[in-house]
Amino acid sequence: MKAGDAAAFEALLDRYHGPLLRVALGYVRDREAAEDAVQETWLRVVAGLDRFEGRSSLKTWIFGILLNVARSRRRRDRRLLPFSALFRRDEPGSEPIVDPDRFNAEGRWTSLPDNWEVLPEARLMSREVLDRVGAAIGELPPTLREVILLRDVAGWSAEEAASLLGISAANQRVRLHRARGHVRRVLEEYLR
Amino acid sequence: MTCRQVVQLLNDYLEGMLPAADRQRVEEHLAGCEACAAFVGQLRASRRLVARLAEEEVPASVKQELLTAFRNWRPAGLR
Repeated sequence: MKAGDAAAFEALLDRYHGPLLRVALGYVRDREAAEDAVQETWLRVVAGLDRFEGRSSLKTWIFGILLNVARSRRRRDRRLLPFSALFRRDEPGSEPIVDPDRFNAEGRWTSLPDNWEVLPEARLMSREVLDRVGAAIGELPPTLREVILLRDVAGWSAEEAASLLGISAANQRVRLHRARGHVRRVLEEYLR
Repeated sequence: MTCRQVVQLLNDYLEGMLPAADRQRVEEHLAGCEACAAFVGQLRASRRLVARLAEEEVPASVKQELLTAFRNWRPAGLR
């Protein structure tokens, strides 16, 4: 690509544009702002190709640029938010993974989880369910949201995500556990 | 191991992060507990759904603009 191979660049766009957009949506106020952030990221990638030395993988480098762009835009957006929007009680992701009331004194389920394998695939993977998943991720506090976005949307490994976010392996695991727990919980209520 | 305990270990189980002894206990429990097996199915399906969020095409106009930017860029040696 450094030799100017446009097909290689196009393959890169096809591969990473969707994951970048989804990760960007986790930081900025709306889709339009996320699209802008991703576009700026790609332009910075092009402008920086000469300086890219391959010390990190191309993927890590591109997502690193996106996080810088998206975080600085979020800081800018935050100044426009009403004060009350910065503080929330009952923050999503802080709830138990499963409501304790669903187990009896011996620790067995009293209200059984539904078996989603019997759901028609078209229902489970429908647009409305996907929208609900997107919204559930959007409700999470940023520290949990960025972990689930990198791990489960962008498909990063635990080590890659912890390293990019500058957090310990243990912290990454705890945040992922909470974030995935919240998404499952929201879906269980929605699909019931 | 109770269902309540198993549920707390399932994310580490799916991550492949459980020590062998715990993994074996979780697997033995799952083999005999339909409810916990259904719960693991929910976690797996949730992950599959989350992964689907990334499936987006690059809009044609955006792609053209970025490809033009790329073509206008010249490697340092070719300037």
